[in-house]
Amino acid sequence: MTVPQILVVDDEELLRELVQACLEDLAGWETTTAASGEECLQLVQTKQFDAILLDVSMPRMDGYEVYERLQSNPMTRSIPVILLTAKVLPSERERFSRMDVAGVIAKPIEPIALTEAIAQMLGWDE
Amino acid sequence: MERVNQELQITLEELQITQEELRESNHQLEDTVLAVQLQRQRYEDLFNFAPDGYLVTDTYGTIQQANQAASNLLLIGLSALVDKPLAIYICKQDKRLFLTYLRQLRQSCDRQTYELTIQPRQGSPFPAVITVSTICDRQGQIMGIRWMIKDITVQKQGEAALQQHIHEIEDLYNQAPCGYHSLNAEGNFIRINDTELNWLGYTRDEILHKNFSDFITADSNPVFQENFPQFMKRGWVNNLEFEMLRKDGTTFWVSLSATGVKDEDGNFVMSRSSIFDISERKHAEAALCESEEKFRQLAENIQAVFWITDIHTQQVFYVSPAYETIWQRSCESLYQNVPSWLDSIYPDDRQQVEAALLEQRRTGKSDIQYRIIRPDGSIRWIRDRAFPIKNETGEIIRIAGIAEDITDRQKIEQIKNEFIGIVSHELRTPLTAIKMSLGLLKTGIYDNKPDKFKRMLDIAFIDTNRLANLVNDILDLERLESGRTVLEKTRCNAADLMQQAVEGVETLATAQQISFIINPTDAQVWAAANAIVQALTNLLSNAIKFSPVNSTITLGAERQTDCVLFWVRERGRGIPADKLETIFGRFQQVDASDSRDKGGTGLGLAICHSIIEQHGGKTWVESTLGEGSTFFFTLPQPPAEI
Repeated sequence: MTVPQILVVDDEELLRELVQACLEDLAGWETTTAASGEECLQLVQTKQFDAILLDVSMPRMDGYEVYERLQSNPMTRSIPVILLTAKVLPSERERFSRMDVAGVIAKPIEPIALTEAIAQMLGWDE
Repeated sequence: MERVNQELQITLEELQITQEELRESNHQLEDTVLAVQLQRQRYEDLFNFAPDGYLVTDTYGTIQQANQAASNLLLIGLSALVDKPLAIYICKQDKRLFLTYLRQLRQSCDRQTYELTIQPRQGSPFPAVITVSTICDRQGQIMGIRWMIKDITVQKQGEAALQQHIHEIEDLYNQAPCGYHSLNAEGNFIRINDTELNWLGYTRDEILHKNFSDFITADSNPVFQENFPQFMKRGWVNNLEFEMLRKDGTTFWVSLSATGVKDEDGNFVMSRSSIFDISERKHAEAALCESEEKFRQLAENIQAVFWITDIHTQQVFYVSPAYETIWQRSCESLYQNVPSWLDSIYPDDRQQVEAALLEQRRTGKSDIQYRIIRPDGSIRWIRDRAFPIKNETGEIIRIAGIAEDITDRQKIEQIKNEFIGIVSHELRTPLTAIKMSLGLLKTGIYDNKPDKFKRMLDIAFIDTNRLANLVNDILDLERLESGRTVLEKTRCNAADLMQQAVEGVETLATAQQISFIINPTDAQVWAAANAIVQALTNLLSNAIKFSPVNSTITLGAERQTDCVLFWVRERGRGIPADKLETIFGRFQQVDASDSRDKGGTGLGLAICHSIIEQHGGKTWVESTLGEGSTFFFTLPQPPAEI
C-alpha cells in the first residue's frame, strides 16, 4: 500500500502543526494542511487525498458546510471524512450521527489514540 | 157588786186570753226546742262524719271532744282521745312550734291556719293543715279551742312533683346548650340562663336590668336598634346575628331568634330569646374569605395565567388578568368564546395542543409547551400545565391550570447553553494542544530530535498560559456578574489609573513599537482602583493587538457634568457597524480567529463592561472602518467632601 495522503483542516495553527506531527512522525502518513474551509475545498481540486480530518468549528465556513460541499461534488464525494471536534453538547452529537462521515473524534485526544482511531475508522489497521 | 162582778168577768176573760197566749207560747217553745234539737243533731252529725278531723280542746290543748275523722287520722279510738294532750300527736320537730302557737292562742281570740306534721299513734307522720279557732264566752274569755285537721299528704306530693317539674324546667333553661334570655320593652334583661351568663362571663346580678345593647359590639348596635322595635310590633325575629361582648372584652358571634310575649291587651311584655354561638361558623367564613382573598391576590398579581375550566362543558370559570398581558387578548373574550383561545396557538403547535386537551379530559392532567401568536404578530412560548380538581367521590369536575410565558426563560436557557458550548470549546482547544504536544513527547519519538522536542514544549507552554488566562477571565467575569466581587471604592485620580494601566502593557507595546499619549487631567473618580486598572488594561491590550506597527494609542479622561468620561483610541482596522453592540458580549470577537491570532480569551471586553457597570457607568465604542476605534466608559465623580 502506498503511503496514505491525509488533508488536515483546522483554523488553529498550533493544532494543525500538532496533528501533522502525529500523523507524520507517529503513523508515517503524508499530510497536507489547510487553515480554513475555503483552502480545503481548493486543495481537494488539485490533489488526491485518502482521507480528510476536518475541524468542525471554524470561522466563516464551518466543518458542516465544508462537508456538505464535499458531498455535493461527485469528484470529492467518495473521500472519507473524519470530524475532529470539541463540540460535545447532545444536540451537536445528534447532528453528527445524522452525517454519513467515516468517524467523529472528540478533542482533546492523545497522539497514539488519534492515529489508532483514524486507522480503525478507515480500515487501515488490518 | 155588779161592777165588781163585771171587773171579775173582765179579768177572767183576760186570764183566759193569757192562758191561751201561754198555751200558744208553749207550743211555739216546743217547736223551737224541737228545731234546736234537730239542728244540733245536724251539727253533731256534721262534726262526727266530716271528712276532716275536728277536735275541741281546753286552752291547754287537752282534748275534750273529737270526731271520727280525727280518730281515723290519729289512728286511735275516739274514747281514748279524750283527756289526751293534742301535743303528743304533733311530730317531734314541730312540737316546740305547736306549743308556741298554743301559747299565742290563749292570749287572744283568733283564727289561724298552721302547717304542722302530725304523728299518729302508729304509722308514719303526715303533713296537715290545721285551722284553729278559739271558743270565747260573752265576756271574751277564751273557753276552749277548736282544731280542724286536714291531711295534705296528697297535696304535698302534688306540690313536690310540681316543684320537681319546675326545677327540671329551670335546669333545662339554665343548662341548655344555647343561651336564653328575656328582654322587657326597654330592651333590658329580665331573665337570662346560666349558659348565656357563662358565655358572657358575667353574674346574673351584673346583667339583670341592664340593656342588651351594653353587651354587643358597637358594630352590632345598629342591628339591635333597628330590629328591636320591629320585633316588638311583629312578635318574632329569626337568626339575627350579633357580635356579643364578654366581660373580659373579647367578642363572639351569636345568632338570635325570639318570640314576643304579650299581655291580654296585646301589649309587649317581654321577649323569649334563644341565642346560638356561631363563632366557629364566623371564623370559618372569615378564614374562607381570607383564603379567597389570598388566592385572588396571588392569582391576580403573579406573572402567570391561572385558569379553571369545567371538564364537561369546557367553559372557563376563571382566568387571571395575566392572560391579558401574555396573550394580549381580553379575559372577557375567553369567557365568551372559549374556542377563540385555540386561534391564538401557533399553527404548527395546534395538533399537540388539541392532543393535550383530549388528555386533560381523560386524566385532568397535561404539561405542554406551545407557541402563541399575539394580535401584534409577536410569538411567545407558553408552558401550560393542568391539574385535575376532584369532588368527594373522586370524580374529576374541573381542571385548574397555570400557563407561564417562558419565552425569556427559554432565551436565557439558550444563551446559557451557547455559553457552555463556547466555554467548553474554548477550554478544549488549548487542552487539546497541551495533551497532544506532551503526548508526542511521551511516545519518545522526539527524544533524539532536540528542535522538535523544544517546539513541543513551547506549544504546551503557550497553550497552558492561554488556558490559565481563560480560566482566570471566566472566574473574574463570573465573580463580577454574580456580585461576589466587592468593589471597595475610593477617591482616585484618573491620571494615576491611566498611568498604572499603561505601565502594565508597556512591554507588549514596545515589542510592536507602539507608543502611548496620556492626555493630562486632574479629574477624580469614585472607583475601585484595581478594577479600573484591569478594565483599562483590557482596553489597552486590545488596542495594542489591533494597532498597526509603529502607531500611537491615545487615552484620556475628562470631567463631565455628572461623571468622568474615559477614552482609549487606536488606529486599527475598525469595527463593522453591526458588531459595535455585541462586541462587549462574551466570546464576541469580530473575527473568531482573533483569539488565536491575537492571543485573547474573548472575554476582555465583557470583563471591562462588567467592571464599569458595577460602578454604575456605561461602556461603548465608536469606530470607522480602516481608521480605528475609540472605546469610551464613564465613572462616577467622588462624593463632595464635607
